[in-house]
Amino acid sequence: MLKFEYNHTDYAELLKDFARYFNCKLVDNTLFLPPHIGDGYMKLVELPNGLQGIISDYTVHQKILFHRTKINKDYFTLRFDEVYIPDDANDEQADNEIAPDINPIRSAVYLGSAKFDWLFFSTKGTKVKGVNIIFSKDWLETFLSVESVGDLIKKYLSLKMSAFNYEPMDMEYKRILAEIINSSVDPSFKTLLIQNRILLLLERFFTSIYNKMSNMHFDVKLTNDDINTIKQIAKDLVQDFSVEPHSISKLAKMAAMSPSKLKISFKEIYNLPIYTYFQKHRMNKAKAMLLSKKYSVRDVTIEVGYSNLSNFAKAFKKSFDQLPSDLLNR
Amino acid sequence: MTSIEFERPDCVEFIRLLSDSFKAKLSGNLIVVPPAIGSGYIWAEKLPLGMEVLVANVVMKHELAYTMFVNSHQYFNLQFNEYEADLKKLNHTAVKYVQQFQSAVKISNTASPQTLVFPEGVNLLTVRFFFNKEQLGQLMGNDAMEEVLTKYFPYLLKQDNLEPLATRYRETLNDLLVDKFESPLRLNFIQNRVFLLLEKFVIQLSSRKDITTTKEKRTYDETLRLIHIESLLVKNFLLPAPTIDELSRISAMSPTKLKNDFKRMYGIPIYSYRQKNRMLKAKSLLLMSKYTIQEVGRMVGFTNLSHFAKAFKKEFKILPSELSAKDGVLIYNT
Repeated sequence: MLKFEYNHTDYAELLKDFARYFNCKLVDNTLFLPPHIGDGYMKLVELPNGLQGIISDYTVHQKILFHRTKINKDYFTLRFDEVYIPDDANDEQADNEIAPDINPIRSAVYLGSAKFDWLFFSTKGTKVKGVNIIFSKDWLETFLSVESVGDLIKKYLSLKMSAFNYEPMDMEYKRILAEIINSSVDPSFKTLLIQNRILLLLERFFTSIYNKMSNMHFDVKLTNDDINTIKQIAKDLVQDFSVEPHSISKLAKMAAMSPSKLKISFKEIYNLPIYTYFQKHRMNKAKAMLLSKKYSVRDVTIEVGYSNLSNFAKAFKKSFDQLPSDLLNR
Repeated sequence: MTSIEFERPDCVEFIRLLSDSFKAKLSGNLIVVPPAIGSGYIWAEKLPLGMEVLVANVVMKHELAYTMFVNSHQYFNLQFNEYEADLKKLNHTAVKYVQQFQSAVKISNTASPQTLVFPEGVNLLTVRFFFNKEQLGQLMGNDAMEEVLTKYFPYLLKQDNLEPLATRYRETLNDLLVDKFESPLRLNFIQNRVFLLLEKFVIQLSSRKDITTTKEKRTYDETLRLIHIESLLVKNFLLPAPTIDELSRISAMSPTKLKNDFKRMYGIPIYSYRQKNRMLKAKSLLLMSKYTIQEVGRMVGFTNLSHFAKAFKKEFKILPSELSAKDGVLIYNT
């Protein structure tokens, strides 16, 4: 396994060190991974507004551990990562003692503080697409100072936490990310396009932080252990829809938390109550199955745990404004 | 016609002057037009980067015109104007406005006086903002800024240049044409939309072929006719697309000239342009998550939903259903 430790606040330097470590050269601020390590690139962007970021789009060919070690400086990294882990890697990972512990965060959006360690472990075959932006506390304060809600957000960010506002990558984040990675504009205007998209990501992220705070969930302090536990609960919850979901009290027992702590923490992380989250994933699975055109509506109904076709159709319509059969008829 | 002189563009100050002349109260930098004068709202804002923006959505009872003289000539103004009205109810002047200036984008610089005309009885929707070289540089980097300033802007400023207000702008304009913002990061929200409008404008310029080659010049009148053709193409997707023959008759150009000039001005052939805008409209309707896919399909003129899905996928590489999944993410790829 390759291990890389760093604590840079200058991404230009960081990318140079990555290149040195992987024993390859930077071309046009871009690091193309050598074949034995992976396939794809990490690209430095230095924006006219003073921000630095790294755009990644790669698949790794061996296990790699990135370890950002904590420093006592006021820096934040905002990460938008879409991570795909191949199915067979999960089994392999089960044998691997360190993996489940150090990799609590996969496809996600969140703001990390440089005052805490951060680890990212990729197994063979892991695909990473993402944008990662670094900024100082000063930059952030200037950014927020023009807004009436700026002080409130600053107060939240002064809490001692390793990661703020952990959110799933939703469709809108993915769309903006795809525009950054796949843009085909005239090269002269690439910077313009990327900077604008990064500003949109920032706007969306801080809007969501604010909205969460006004829902009063922000005073919950979550440890990394809590986050891991809850990720595990969420994973179990959506593993098999054909069986009844566990009750809150059962889930609370599994998580070794009180029911109210579980419910509040779950919502803090996923922005949705537990059973709403369950239902959303259940319907998404149903939709994906229908779109594949390999299953009948009846098959899907059973697979996602409904015994009654019309209840399923109603629930589906509630989520997507369409009936399941609409997807098959197309 | 009221004239105002400024050292540098100052929309916020301009709004203050307007509120005096309208005898209307200011709330923040927003004026609600009093019923004695008309209806609608006008607001202005100074953005974090320093750009000044003015937005209006008004109908006035009588024509009102303002001219802003700016002593510093270092600023550019980009404006997006739309005039909407019932042509039958209008007087002659208003008809002229609606016919000549509908759906246009205009760029100018402060060397020439900046005018704001509220025509009588016409719904004017406008978004306009001022920026200078430094701000443009902070947006796109200095190299790209120099390229834009030397390659495209001089040509645009020299000609009385009108750009079509195509669908790709409308999505962003609709975000700004409101009198109240939901976003808690209000200024960043406004600024980002202004940046997007500038981005779309500049990227569109770079895809046009006629801008740096002066080989085939269009007359101003021909430009207006092409803009008229564009508006016919994208105005109503429920009706079948007009044929080239019809368009050629309306524009009083030969089919060949029409096709060539259209492509030179808009970057893509007539029907590809229509299709692209049709899909963009569908996309922005879907993103509102107010309508079902069926409804949207019908609203952009498809009777067959599977044709709609196919056309949508061709344009955006995803199916309408994947987009409309209300904040849901398709996580299963079975």
